[in-house]
Amino acid sequence: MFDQWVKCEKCGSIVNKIDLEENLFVCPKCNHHFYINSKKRIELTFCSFQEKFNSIKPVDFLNFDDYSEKLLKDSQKLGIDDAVIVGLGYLLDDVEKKYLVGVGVMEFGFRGGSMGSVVGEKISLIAEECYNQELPLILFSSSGGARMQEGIISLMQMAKTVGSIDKLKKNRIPFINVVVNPTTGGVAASFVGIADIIIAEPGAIIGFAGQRVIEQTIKKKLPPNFQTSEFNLNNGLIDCVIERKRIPSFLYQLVSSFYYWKNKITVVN
Amino acid sequence: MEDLLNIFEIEKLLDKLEEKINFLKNLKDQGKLSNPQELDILEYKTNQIIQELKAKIHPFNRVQIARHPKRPVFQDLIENVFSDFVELKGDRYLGDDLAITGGVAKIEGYPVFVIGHNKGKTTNEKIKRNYGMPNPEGFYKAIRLMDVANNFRTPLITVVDTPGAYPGDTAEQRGQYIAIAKSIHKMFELDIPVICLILSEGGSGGALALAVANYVLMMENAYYSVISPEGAASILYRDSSKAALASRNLKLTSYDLLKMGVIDEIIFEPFMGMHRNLRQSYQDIKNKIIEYLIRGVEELKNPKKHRFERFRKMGIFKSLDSVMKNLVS
Repeated sequence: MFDQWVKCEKCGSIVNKIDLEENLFVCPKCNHHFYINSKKRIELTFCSFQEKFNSIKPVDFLNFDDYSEKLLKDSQKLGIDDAVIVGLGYLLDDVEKKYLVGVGVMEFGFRGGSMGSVVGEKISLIAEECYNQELPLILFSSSGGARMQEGIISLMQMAKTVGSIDKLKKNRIPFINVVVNPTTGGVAASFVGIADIIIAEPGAIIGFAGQRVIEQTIKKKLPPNFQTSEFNLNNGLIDCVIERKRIPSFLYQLVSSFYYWKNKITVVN
Repeated sequence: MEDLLNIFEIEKLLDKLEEKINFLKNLKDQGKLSNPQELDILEYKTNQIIQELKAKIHPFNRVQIARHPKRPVFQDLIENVFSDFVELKGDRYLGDDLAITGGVAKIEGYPVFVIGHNKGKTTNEKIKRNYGMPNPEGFYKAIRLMDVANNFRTPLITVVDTPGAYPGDTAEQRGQYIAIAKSIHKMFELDIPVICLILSEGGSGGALALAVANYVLMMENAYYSVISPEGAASILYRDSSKAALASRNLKLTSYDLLKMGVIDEIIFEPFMGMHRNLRQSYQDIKNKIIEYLIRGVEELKNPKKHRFERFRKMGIFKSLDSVMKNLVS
Protein backbone atom coordinates (compact mmCIF):
# COMPACT_ATOMS: atom_id res chain seq x y z
CA MET A 1 0.00 0.00 0.00
CA PHE A 2 2.63 2.50 1.12
CA ASP A 3 4.81 2.20 -1.93
CA GLN A 4 2.07 3.87 -3.95
CA TRP A 5 3.10 7.13 -2.35
CA VAL A 6 6.23 9.20 -2.58
CA LYS A 7 7.29 12.12 -0.42
CA CYS A 8 8.61 15.11 -2.39
CA GLU A 9 12.24 15.77 -1.43
CA LYS A 10 11.65 19.49 -1.64
CA CYS A 11 8.19 20.46 -0.38
CA GLY A 12 7.45 17.30 1.58
CA SER A 13 4.05 16.72 -0.07
CA ILE A 14 2.88 13.14 -0.36
CA VAL A 15 2.39 12.40 -4.03
CA ASN A 16 0.77 9.41 -5.68
CA LYS A 17 3.37 7.44 -7.64
CA ILE A 18 1.17 7.15 -10.72
CA ASP A 19 0.45 10.88 -10.72
CA LEU A 20 4.15 11.55 -10.34
CA GLU A 21 5.03 9.30 -13.25
CA GLU A 22 2.33 10.90 -15.42
CA ASN A 23 3.86 14.24 -14.56
CA LEU A 24 7.30 13.00 -15.77
CA PHE A 25 8.59 12.71 -12.19
CA VAL A 26 8.01 16.36 -11.42
CA CYS A 27 6.24 17.21 -8.17
CA PRO A 28 2.74 18.47 -9.11
CA LYS A 29 2.74 20.71 -6.00
CA CYS A 30 6.12 22.47 -6.08
CA ASN A 31 7.54 21.65 -9.53
CA HIS A 32 10.57 19.91 -8.02
CA HIS A 33 12.28 17.82 -10.70
CA PHE A 34 13.04 14.35 -9.32
CA TYR A 35 16.08 12.36 -10.41
CA ILE A 36 15.31 9.99 -13.27
CA ASN A 37 17.79 7.46 -14.58
CA SER A 38 19.35 7.72 -18.02
CA LYS A 39 17.17 5.02 -19.56
CA LYS A 40 14.02 6.78 -18.37
CA ARG A 41 15.40 10.07 -19.69
CA ILE A 42 15.88 8.58 -23.15
CA GLU A 43 12.34 7.16 -23.04
CA LEU A 44 10.91 10.57 -22.09
CA THR A 45 12.87 12.51 -24.73
CA PHE A 46 13.25 10.34 -27.82
CA CYS A 47 10.75 8.27 -29.79
CA SER A 48 13.37 6.01 -31.24
CA PHE A 49 16.89 5.54 -29.98
CA GLN A 50 19.70 3.29 -31.05
CA GLU A 51 22.60 2.93 -28.64
CA LYS A 52 26.14 3.05 -30.06
CA PHE A 53 29.68 2.35 -28.86
CA ASN A 54 28.44 0.22 -25.97
CA SER A 55 31.32 -2.24 -26.20
CA ILE A 56 33.61 0.21 -24.37
CA LYS A 57 34.09 -0.74 -20.74
CA PRO A 58 36.02 0.77 -17.81
CA VAL A 59 39.30 -0.56 -16.39
CA ASP A 60 40.74 0.01 -12.90
CA PHE A 61 44.18 0.74 -14.31
CA LEU A 62 45.49 2.53 -11.21
CA ASN A 63 44.27 -0.23 -8.83
CA PHE A 64 42.60 2.56 -6.88
CA ASP A 65 41.21 1.29 -3.54
CA ASP A 66 37.94 -0.60 -4.18
CA TYR A 67 37.22 1.03 -7.57
CA SER A 68 36.74 -2.35 -9.33
CA GLU A 69 34.08 -3.44 -6.87
CA LYS A 70 32.34 -0.08 -7.07
CA LEU A 71 32.23 -0.29 -10.86
CA LEU A 72 30.79 -3.78 -10.66
CA LYS A 73 28.21 -2.78 -8.07
CA ASP A 74 26.98 0.23 -10.07
CA SER A 75 26.83 -1.66 -13.35
CA GLN A 76 24.84 -4.49 -11.75
CA LYS A 77 22.47 -2.04 -10.13
CA LEU A 78 21.85 0.01 -13.29
CA GLY A 79 22.53 -2.41 -16.12
CA ILE A 80 25.03 -0.08 -17.82
CA ASP A 81 28.84 -0.22 -18.03
CA ASP A 82 29.68 3.39 -17.22
CA ALA A 83 28.17 6.81 -16.61
CA VAL A 84 26.94 7.69 -20.11
CA ILE A 85 24.74 6.19 -22.83
CA VAL A 86 25.33 7.50 -26.36
CA GLY A 87 23.56 6.82 -29.63
CA LEU A 88 21.40 8.22 -32.40
CA GLY A 89 17.75 9.08 -32.06
CA TYR A 90 14.69 11.07 -33.05
CA LEU A 91 13.08 13.46 -30.60
CA LEU A 92 9.61 12.64 -29.23
CA ASP A 93 8.05 15.54 -31.12
CA ASP A 94 9.62 14.38 -34.38
CA VAL A 95 6.58 12.34 -35.46
CA GLU A 96 7.71 12.19 -39.08
CA LYS A 97 11.21 11.12 -37.98
CA LYS A 98 12.84 13.75 -40.14
CA TYR A 99 15.60 15.00 -37.91
CA LEU A 100 18.14 12.49 -36.67
CA VAL A 101 20.35 13.67 -33.79
CA GLY A 102 23.39 12.40 -31.89
CA VAL A 103 22.56 11.78 -28.24
CA GLY A 104 24.48 11.37 -25.01
CA VAL A 105 22.80 10.96 -21.63
CA MET A 106 24.89 10.87 -18.49
CA GLU A 107 23.87 8.64 -15.57
CA PHE A 108 24.31 10.27 -12.19
CA GLY A 109 23.58 6.98 -10.44
CA PHE A 110 26.79 5.50 -11.83
CA ARG A 111 29.76 6.75 -9.75
CA GLY A 112 28.08 10.15 -9.43
CA GLY A 113 28.07 10.53 -13.21
CA SER A 114 31.81 11.11 -13.06
CA MET A 115 33.84 11.32 -16.26
CA GLY A 116 36.65 8.84 -16.70
CA SER A 117 38.09 7.24 -19.83
CA VAL A 118 34.86 5.57 -20.94
CA VAL A 119 32.66 8.65 -20.59
CA GLY A 120 35.27 10.78 -22.36
CA GLU A 121 35.72 8.29 -25.18
CA LYS A 122 31.99 7.81 -25.76
CA ILE A 123 31.35 11.55 -25.85
CA SER A 124 34.22 12.04 -28.29
CA LEU A 125 32.96 9.18 -30.47
CA ILE A 126 29.38 10.44 -30.62
CA ALA A 127 30.63 13.96 -31.41
CA GLU A 128 32.71 12.50 -34.24
CA GLU A 129 29.71 10.51 -35.48
CA CYS A 130 27.77 13.79 -35.58
CA TYR A 131 30.64 15.40 -37.47
CA ASN A 132 30.74 12.61 -40.05
CA GLN A 133 26.97 12.54 -40.59
CA GLU A 134 26.34 16.28 -40.06
CA LEU A 135 23.93 15.66 -37.19
CA PRO A 136 23.23 18.04 -34.31
CA LEU A 137 24.50 16.77 -30.95
CA ILE A 138 22.34 16.78 -27.83
CA LEU A 139 23.95 15.90 -24.51
CA PHE A 140 22.24 15.60 -21.13
CA SER A 141 24.91 16.30 -18.51
CA SER A 142 24.67 15.10 -14.93
CA SER A 143 27.94 14.66 -13.14
CA GLY A 144 29.97 15.43 -10.07
CA GLY A 145 33.00 16.05 -12.29
CA ALA A 146 36.08 14.11 -13.34
CA ARG A 147 36.50 10.60 -11.91
CA MET A 148 39.15 10.58 -9.18
CA GLN A 149 39.83 6.86 -9.45
CA GLU A 150 41.26 7.28 -12.94
CA GLY A 151 43.58 10.08 -11.82
CA ILE A 152 45.14 12.37 -14.39
CA ILE A 153 43.63 10.37 -17.26
CA SER A 154 40.23 11.69 -16.15
CA LEU A 155 41.52 15.26 -16.33
CA MET A 156 42.68 14.53 -19.87
CA GLN A 157 39.10 13.57 -20.82
CA MET A 158 38.17 17.22 -20.33
CA ALA A 159 40.61 18.19 -23.06
CA LYS A 160 39.70 15.24 -25.27
CA THR A 161 35.95 15.91 -25.28
CA VAL A 162 36.48 19.63 -25.91
CA GLY A 163 38.80 18.78 -28.82
CA SER A 164 36.16 16.56 -30.41
CA ILE A 165 33.42 19.14 -29.96
CA ASP A 166 35.70 21.77 -31.50
CA LYS A 167 35.42 19.81 -34.78
CA LEU A 168 31.64 20.25 -34.71
CA LYS A 169 32.02 23.97 -34.17
CA LYS A 170 34.46 24.35 -37.07
CA ASN A 171 31.93 22.68 -39.35
CA ARG A 172 28.90 24.58 -38.06
CA ILE A 173 27.14 21.66 -36.47
CA PRO A 174 25.15 22.65 -33.41
CA PHE A 175 25.73 21.21 -29.96
CA ILE A 176 23.04 21.61 -27.32
CA ASN A 177 23.66 20.67 -23.72
CA VAL A 178 20.80 20.05 -21.33
CA VAL A 179 21.94 20.44 -17.73
CA VAL A 180 20.38 17.96 -15.34
CA ASN A 181 20.96 18.21 -11.59
CA PRO A 182 23.85 18.30 -10.76
CA THR A 183 26.53 19.27 -13.31
CA THR A 184 29.74 20.36 -11.65
CA GLY A 185 33.55 20.23 -11.74
CA GLY A 186 35.35 18.87 -14.76
CA VAL A 187 32.22 18.14 -16.75
CA ALA A 188 30.80 21.66 -16.36
CA ALA A 189 34.28 23.05 -17.12
CA SER A 190 34.77 21.09 -20.33
CA PHE A 191 32.21 20.16 -22.99
CA VAL A 192 29.21 21.66 -21.15
CA GLY A 193 30.91 25.05 -20.90
CA ILE A 194 31.42 25.29 -24.67
CA ALA A 195 27.95 24.19 -25.80
CA ASP A 196 26.23 26.47 -28.34
CA ILE A 197 23.11 26.38 -26.21
CA ILE A 198 22.94 25.47 -22.53
CA ILE A 199 19.48 24.56 -21.30
CA ALA A 200 18.85 23.60 -17.69
CA GLU A 201 16.03 21.89 -15.83
CA PRO A 202 14.62 24.02 -12.97
CA GLY A 203 16.56 23.82 -9.71
CA ALA A 204 19.59 21.99 -11.13
CA ILE A 205 23.02 22.75 -9.65
CA ILE A 206 25.59 23.97 -12.19
CA GLY A 207 29.05 25.21 -11.26
CA PHE A 208 32.73 24.45 -10.95
CA ALA A 209 33.68 24.24 -7.27
CA GLY A 210 31.75 22.35 -4.61
CA GLN A 211 29.70 24.44 -2.19
CA ARG A 212 31.46 23.10 0.91
CA VAL A 213 34.87 24.07 -0.51
CA ILE A 214 33.60 27.55 -1.40
CA GLU A 215 32.15 28.09 2.08
CA GLN A 216 35.46 27.05 3.64
CA THR A 217 37.35 29.41 1.31
CA ILE A 218 35.26 32.55 1.72
CA LYS A 219 34.22 31.76 5.32
CA LYS A 220 30.63 32.72 4.61
CA LYS A 221 27.39 30.81 4.17
CA LEU A 222 26.19 30.67 0.59
CA PRO A 223 22.66 31.80 -0.33
CA PRO A 224 20.18 28.93 -0.88
CA ASN A 225 19.85 29.58 -4.62
CA PHE A 226 23.64 29.49 -5.17
CA GLN A 227 24.68 27.66 -8.38
CA THR A 228 21.08 26.75 -9.25
CA SER A 229 19.79 26.93 -12.83
CA GLU A 230 18.01 30.19 -11.98
CA PHE A 231 21.22 31.64 -10.45
CA ASN A 232 23.14 30.69 -13.60
CA LEU A 233 20.41 32.21 -15.76
CA ASN A 234 20.37 35.49 -13.84
CA ASN A 235 24.14 35.74 -14.12
CA GLY A 236 24.08 35.30 -17.88
CA LEU A 237 25.78 31.91 -17.89
CA ILE A 238 23.09 29.73 -19.49
CA ASP A 239 20.45 30.29 -22.18
CA CYS A 240 17.27 29.18 -20.51
CA VAL A 241 15.58 27.13 -17.84
CA ILE A 242 13.03 24.73 -19.32
CA GLU A 243 10.66 22.36 -17.52
CA ARG A 244 11.12 18.69 -18.18
CA LYS A 245 7.89 18.25 -20.11
CA ARG A 246 8.76 21.05 -22.53
CA ILE A 247 12.31 19.89 -23.26
CA PRO A 248 11.57 17.58 -26.25
CA SER A 249 9.52 20.20 -28.10
CA PHE A 250 12.08 22.89 -27.35
CA LEU A 251 14.93 20.71 -28.64
CA TYR A 252 12.82 19.87 -31.68
CA GLN A 253 12.35 23.53 -32.50
CA LEU A 254 16.08 24.20 -32.26
CA VAL A 255 17.04 21.14 -34.30
CA SER A 256 14.45 21.84 -37.00
CA SER A 257 15.85 25.31 -37.53
CA PHE A 258 19.26 23.76 -38.32
CA TYR A 259 17.72 21.19 -40.67
CA TYR A 260 15.49 23.77 -42.36
CA TRP A 261 18.41 25.93 -43.49
CA LYS A 262 21.20 23.37 -43.65
CA ASN A 263 21.02 22.77 -47.41
CA LYS A 264 19.93 26.29 -48.31
CA ILE A 265 22.81 28.18 -46.76
CA THR A 266 26.30 27.21 -47.85
CA VAL A 267 29.07 27.04 -45.31
CA VAL A 268 32.20 28.78 -46.53
CA ASN A 269 35.33 27.94 -44.60
CA MET B 1 50.14 5.39 7.97
CA GLU B 2 52.21 6.53 5.02
CA ASP B 3 56.00 6.47 5.22
CA LEU B 4 56.84 10.10 4.68
CA LEU B 5 60.29 11.64 4.74
CA ASN B 6 60.67 14.81 6.75
CA ILE B 7 61.90 17.06 3.97
CA PHE B 8 62.82 19.95 6.27
CA GLU B 9 65.00 17.69 8.45
CA ILE B 10 66.64 16.25 5.35
CA GLU B 11 67.34 19.75 4.08
CA LYS B 12 69.02 20.64 7.38
CA LEU B 13 71.19 17.55 7.05
CA LEU B 14 72.05 18.38 3.44
CA ASP B 15 72.90 21.95 4.42
CA LYS B 16 75.32 20.68 7.06
CA LEU B 17 76.96 18.20 4.71
CA GLU B 18 77.28 20.77 1.93
CA GLU B 19 78.73 23.29 4.33
CA LYS B 20 81.36 20.81 5.44
CA ILE B 21 82.19 19.81 1.87
CA ASN B 22 82.61 23.45 0.90
CA PHE B 23 84.78 24.05 3.94
CA LEU B 24 87.04 21.14 3.00
CA LYS B 25 87.11 22.25 -0.65
CA ASN B 26 88.26 25.70 0.44
CA LEU B 27 91.01 24.19 2.55
CA LYS B 28 92.05 22.01 -0.37
CA ASP B 29 92.18 25.01 -2.71
CA GLN B 30 94.41 26.79 -0.23
CA GLY B 31 96.60 23.70 0.03
CA LYS B 32 95.79 23.39 3.71
CA LEU B 33 93.95 20.06 3.61
CA SER B 34 96.16 17.57 5.47
CA ASN B 35 94.19 14.48 4.51
CA PRO B 36 92.84 14.86 0.92
CA GLN B 37 90.94 11.59 1.22
CA GLU B 38 88.68 13.16 3.82
CA LEU B 39 86.92 15.22 1.16
CA ASP B 40 86.47 12.27 -1.20
CA ILE B 41 84.99 10.14 1.56
CA LEU B 42 82.59 12.86 2.64
CA GLU B 43 81.43 13.46 -0.92
CA TYR B 44 81.01 9.74 -1.45
CA LYS B 45 79.01 9.36 1.77
CA THR B 46 76.82 12.34 1.01
CA ASN B 47 76.03 10.91 -2.37
CA GLN B 48 75.21 7.58 -0.77
CA ILE B 49 72.80 9.21 1.69
CA ILE B 50 71.12 11.06 -1.17
CA GLN B 51 70.72 7.87 -3.20
CA GLU B 52 69.20 6.07 -0.22
CA LEU B 53 66.78 8.88 0.51
CA LYS B 54 65.86 9.23 -3.15
CA ALA B 55 64.61 5.66 -3.17
CA LYS B 56 62.38 6.40 -0.17
CA ILE B 57 60.81 9.61 -1.36
CA HIS B 58 57.01 9.43 -1.11
CA PRO B 59 54.70 11.01 -3.74
CA PHE B 60 53.43 13.38 -1.06
CA ASN B 61 57.02 14.49 -0.37
CA ARG B 62 57.09 15.71 -3.96
CA VAL B 63 53.84 17.61 -3.34
CA GLN B 64 55.55 19.20 -0.32
CA ILE B 65 58.61 20.12 -2.39
CA ALA B 66 56.33 21.57 -5.10
CA ARG B 67 54.83 23.81 -2.39
CA HIS B 68 58.15 24.62 -0.72
CA PRO B 69 58.33 28.26 0.40
CA LYS B 70 61.68 28.71 -1.36
CA ARG B 71 60.58 27.17 -4.65
CA PRO B 72 60.82 29.54 -7.63
CA VAL B 73 57.59 30.81 -9.18
CA PHE B 74 56.74 31.91 -12.73
CA GLN B 75 58.02 35.43 -11.96
CA ASP B 76 61.48 33.94 -11.32
CA LEU B 77 61.38 32.17 -14.67
CA ILE B 78 60.43 35.41 -16.41
CA GLU B 79 63.53 36.99 -14.89
CA ASN B 80 65.96 34.09 -15.20
CA VAL B 81 64.91 31.82 -18.04
CA PHE B 82 63.35 34.38 -20.37
CA SER B 83 64.56 37.86 -21.23
CA ASP B 84 63.09 41.10 -22.62
CA PHE B 85 59.72 40.38 -21.04
CA VAL B 86 56.95 42.89 -21.67
CA GLU B 87 53.77 42.24 -19.74
CA LEU B 88 50.44 42.43 -21.57
CA LYS B 89 47.54 42.89 -19.20
CA GLY B 90 43.78 42.68 -19.04
CA ASP B 91 41.01 40.51 -20.43
CA ARG B 92 39.41 43.38 -22.43
CA TYR B 93 36.09 42.63 -20.73
CA LEU B 94 36.20 43.28 -17.02
CA GLY B 95 39.59 43.36 -15.43
CA ASP B 96 43.12 42.15 -14.97
CA ASP B 97 43.63 39.05 -12.87
CA LEU B 98 47.07 39.02 -11.30
CA ALA B 99 46.95 35.25 -10.70
CA ILE B 100 47.89 34.87 -14.37
CA THR B 101 50.72 36.77 -16.03
CA GLY B 102 51.34 36.94 -19.76
CA GLY B 103 53.32 38.81 -22.35
CA VAL B 104 56.02 38.77 -25.01
CA ALA B 105 59.52 37.62 -24.16
CA LYS B 106 62.62 36.06 -25.59
CA ILE B 107 64.31 32.81 -24.81
CA GLU B 108 67.88 32.57 -26.05
CA GLY B 109 66.98 35.20 -28.64
CA TYR B 110 63.85 33.44 -29.91
CA PRO B 111 60.76 35.63 -29.59
CA VAL B 112 57.91 33.85 -27.82
CA PHE B 113 54.69 34.56 -25.95
CA VAL B 114 54.53 33.35 -22.36
CA ILE B 115 51.47 32.85 -20.18
CA GLY B 116 51.53 31.33 -16.71
CA HIS B 117 50.02 31.13 -13.26
CA ASN B 118 51.93 33.53 -11.04
CA LYS B 119 51.83 32.77 -7.31
CA GLY B 120 53.98 35.62 -6.09
CA LYS B 121 56.88 35.42 -3.61
CA THR B 122 56.27 37.72 -0.66
CA THR B 123 53.19 37.40 1.52
CA ASN B 124 51.79 40.66 0.17
CA GLU B 125 52.36 39.61 -3.38
CA LYS B 126 50.85 36.18 -2.76
CA ILE B 127 47.68 37.78 -1.47
CA LYS B 128 47.60 40.21 -4.40
CA ARG B 129 48.06 37.33 -6.82
CA ASN B 130 45.58 35.11 -4.96
CA TYR B 131 48.21 32.35 -4.59
CA GLY B 132 48.04 31.70 -8.32
CA MET B 133 44.35 30.76 -8.22
CA PRO B 134 42.67 32.47 -11.17
CA ASN B 135 39.22 33.98 -11.34
CA PRO B 136 37.36 33.92 -14.68
CA GLU B 137 39.10 37.17 -15.73
CA GLY B 138 42.44 35.37 -15.50
CA PHE B 139 41.33 32.71 -17.94
CA TYR B 140 39.80 35.33 -20.25
CA LYS B 141 43.12 37.21 -20.22
CA ALA B 142 44.94 33.98 -21.07
CA ILE B 143 42.46 33.29 -23.90
CA ARG B 144 42.98 36.80 -25.26
CA LEU B 145 46.75 36.49 -25.20
CA MET B 146 46.61 33.06 -26.86
CA ASP B 147 44.75 34.72 -29.74
CA VAL B 148 47.35 37.48 -29.86
CA ALA B 149 50.21 34.94 -30.01
CA ASN B 150 48.34 33.12 -32.77
CA ASN B 151 47.94 36.31 -34.79
CA PHE B 152 51.61 37.13 -34.32
CA ARG B 153 52.42 33.59 -35.53
CA THR B 154 54.67 33.31 -32.50
CA PRO B 155 55.11 30.10 -30.49
CA LEU B 156 53.51 30.04 -27.04
CA ILE B 157 55.09 28.80 -23.82
CA THR B 158 52.71 28.22 -20.92
CA VAL B 159 53.79 27.70 -17.32
CA VAL B 160 51.48 25.88 -14.93
CA ASP B 161 51.71 26.53 -11.20
CA THR B 162 48.36 26.68 -9.44
CA PRO B 163 46.62 24.86 -6.60
CA GLY B 164 43.51 25.19 -8.81
CA ALA B 165 41.00 27.71 -10.11
CA TYR B 166 39.76 29.94 -7.28
CA PRO B 167 36.80 28.34 -5.48
CA GLY B 168 35.00 31.57 -4.58
CA ASP B 169 31.38 32.67 -4.75
CA THR B 170 31.97 35.56 -7.13
CA ALA B 171 34.15 33.35 -9.36
CA GLU B 172 31.20 30.99 -9.69
CA GLN B 173 28.80 33.85 -10.25
CA ARG B 174 30.91 35.01 -13.19
CA GLY B 175 31.12 31.55 -14.70
CA GLN B 176 34.34 29.88 -13.60
CA TYR B 177 33.33 26.67 -15.38
CA ILE B 178 32.70 28.47 -18.65
CA ALA B 179 36.00 30.36 -18.47
CA ILE B 180 37.98 27.14 -17.96
CA ALA B 181 36.09 25.33 -20.73
CA LYS B 182 36.73 28.21 -23.12
CA SER B 183 40.42 28.33 -22.30
CA ILE B 184 40.77 24.59 -23.01
CA HIS B 185 38.85 25.15 -26.24
CA LYS B 186 40.97 28.11 -27.29
CA MET B 187 44.13 26.04 -26.98
CA PHE B 188 42.74 23.57 -29.54
CA GLU B 189 42.27 26.42 -32.02
CA LEU B 190 45.86 27.67 -32.07
CA ASP B 191 47.95 27.20 -35.23
CA ILE B 192 51.24 27.86 -33.42
CA PRO B 193 53.41 25.35 -31.54
CA VAL B 194 52.51 25.39 -27.84
CA ILE B 195 54.85 24.11 -25.14
CA CYS B 196 53.72 23.73 -21.56
CA LEU B 197 55.90 23.46 -18.46
CA ILE B 198 54.30 22.06 -15.31
CA LEU B 199 56.48 24.01 -12.89
CA SER B 200 55.17 23.08 -9.43
CA GLU B 201 51.48 22.62 -8.77
CA GLY B 202 49.22 21.29 -11.52
CA GLY B 203 45.89 21.60 -9.76
CA SER B 204 43.03 20.16 -11.79
CA GLY B 205 40.93 22.18 -14.27
CA GLY B 206 42.66 25.48 -13.47
CA ALA B 207 45.95 23.87 -14.54
CA LEU B 208 44.55 22.12 -17.62
CA ALA B 209 43.19 25.46 -18.85
CA LEU B 210 46.81 26.37 -19.73
CA ALA B 211 48.12 22.86 -20.45
CA VAL B 212 46.57 21.81 -23.77
CA ALA B 213 49.96 21.93 -25.50
CA ASN B 214 51.81 20.08 -28.24
CA TYR B 215 54.53 19.19 -25.76
CA VAL B 216 54.15 19.01 -21.99
CA LEU B 217 57.32 19.15 -19.87
CA MET B 218 57.27 18.66 -16.13
CA MET B 219 59.68 19.42 -13.30
CA GLU B 220 60.71 16.28 -11.43
CA ASN B 221 59.08 17.40 -8.18
CA ALA B 222 55.97 18.99 -9.65
CA TYR B 223 52.60 17.31 -9.34
CA TYR B 224 49.71 17.32 -11.80
CA SER B 225 46.42 15.90 -10.66
CA VAL B 226 42.69 15.68 -11.34
CA ILE B 227 42.07 16.88 -7.77
CA SER B 228 44.29 18.14 -4.96
CA PRO B 229 45.50 15.37 -2.60
CA GLU B 230 43.62 17.08 0.24
CA GLY B 231 40.43 17.32 -1.82
CA ALA B 232 40.61 13.66 -2.78
CA ALA B 233 41.28 12.63 0.81
CA SER B 234 38.32 14.57 2.14
CA ILE B 235 35.97 13.04 -0.45
CA LEU B 236 37.31 9.47 -0.52
CA TYR B 237 38.35 8.98 3.09
CA ARG B 238 36.37 11.83 4.71
CA ASP B 239 39.66 12.98 6.23
CA SER B 240 41.81 15.63 4.59
CA SER B 241 44.80 14.56 6.69
CA LYS B 242 44.97 11.41 4.57
CA ALA B 243 46.37 13.50 1.72
CA ALA B 244 49.54 11.38 1.63
CA LEU B 245 47.55 8.22 0.99
CA ALA B 246 45.45 9.99 -1.64
CA SER B 247 48.52 11.35 -3.41
CA ARG B 248 49.97 7.86 -3.63
CA ASN B 249 46.73 6.53 -5.13
CA LEU B 250 46.23 9.42 -7.55
CA LYS B 251 49.56 8.76 -9.34
CA LEU B 252 50.37 12.44 -9.65
CA THR B 253 54.19 12.54 -9.83
CA SER B 254 56.22 13.32 -12.92
CA TYR B 255 57.36 9.69 -13.05
CA ASP B 256 53.75 8.41 -13.04
CA LEU B 257 52.69 10.88 -15.70
CA LEU B 258 55.59 10.05 -17.99
CA LYS B 259 54.66 6.36 -17.74
CA MET B 260 51.05 7.16 -18.67
CA GLY B 261 52.10 9.29 -21.63
CA VAL B 262 50.56 12.47 -20.23
CA ILE B 263 53.88 14.35 -20.33
CA ASP B 264 56.76 14.20 -22.81
CA GLU B 265 59.75 14.64 -20.56
CA ILE B 266 60.83 15.17 -16.96
CA ILE B 267 63.19 18.03 -16.20
CA PHE B 268 65.32 16.69 -13.37
CA GLU B 269 65.98 18.73 -10.25
CA PRO B 270 68.63 18.76 -7.58
CA PHE B 271 67.72 16.42 -4.72
CA MET B 272 65.02 18.03 -2.51
CA GLY B 273 64.04 20.56 -5.12
CA MET B 274 65.18 23.14 -7.64
CA HIS B 275 65.63 25.86 -5.02
CA ARG B 276 68.79 24.01 -3.87
CA ASN B 277 70.57 24.89 -7.12
CA LEU B 278 68.72 27.66 -8.87
CA ARG B 279 71.31 28.51 -11.49
CA GLN B 280 71.50 24.92 -12.71
CA SER B 281 67.71 24.54 -12.64
CA TYR B 282 67.09 27.68 -14.70
CA GLN B 283 69.66 26.51 -17.24
CA ASP B 284 68.06 23.06 -17.50
CA ILE B 285 64.59 24.59 -17.94
CA LYS B 286 65.90 26.94 -20.59
CA ASN B 287 67.64 24.16 -22.51
CA LYS B 288 64.59 21.91 -22.51
CA ILE B 289 62.18 24.66 -23.56
CA ILE B 290 64.48 25.62 -26.42
CA GLU B 291 64.86 21.98 -27.46
CA TYR B 292 61.08 21.52 -27.68
CA LEU B 293 60.56 24.94 -29.22
CA ILE B 294 62.90 24.07 -32.07
CA ARG B 295 61.34 20.65 -32.38
CA GLY B 296 57.86 22.19 -32.51
CA VAL B 297 58.82 24.68 -35.18
CA GLU B 298 60.76 22.21 -37.32
CA GLU B 299 58.73 19.03 -36.94
CA LEU B 300 55.11 20.09 -36.58
CA LYS B 301 53.56 20.54 -40.00
CA ASN B 302 50.17 21.13 -38.41
CA PRO B 303 50.42 22.01 -34.71
CA LYS B 304 46.64 22.20 -34.30
CA LYS B 305 46.10 18.69 -35.67
CA HIS B 306 49.05 17.35 -33.67
CA ARG B 307 47.60 18.80 -30.46
CA PHE B 308 44.17 17.32 -31.14
CA GLU B 309 45.61 13.89 -31.86
CA ARG B 310 47.76 14.01 -28.74
CA PHE B 311 44.74 14.48 -26.49
CA ARG B 312 42.30 12.42 -28.57
CA LYS B 313 44.19 9.21 -27.87
CA MET B 314 44.22 9.67 -24.09
CA GLY B 315 42.05 7.21 -22.20
CA ILE B 316 42.40 3.67 -20.86
CA PHE B 317 39.47 1.29 -21.37
CA LYS B 318 38.47 -2.11 -22.70
CA SER B 319 36.77 -2.30 -26.04
CA LEU B 320 35.31 -5.41 -27.59
CA ASP B 321 35.89 -3.88 -31.02
CA SER B 322 39.60 -3.57 -30.41
CA VAL B 323 39.70 -7.13 -29.06
CA MET B 324 37.99 -8.25 -32.27
CA LYS B 325 40.42 -6.24 -34.38
CA ASN B 326 43.37 -7.80 -32.61
CA LEU B 327 41.95 -11.27 -33.17
CA VAL B 328 41.48 -10.63 -36.88
CA SER B 329 44.90 -9.14 -37.48
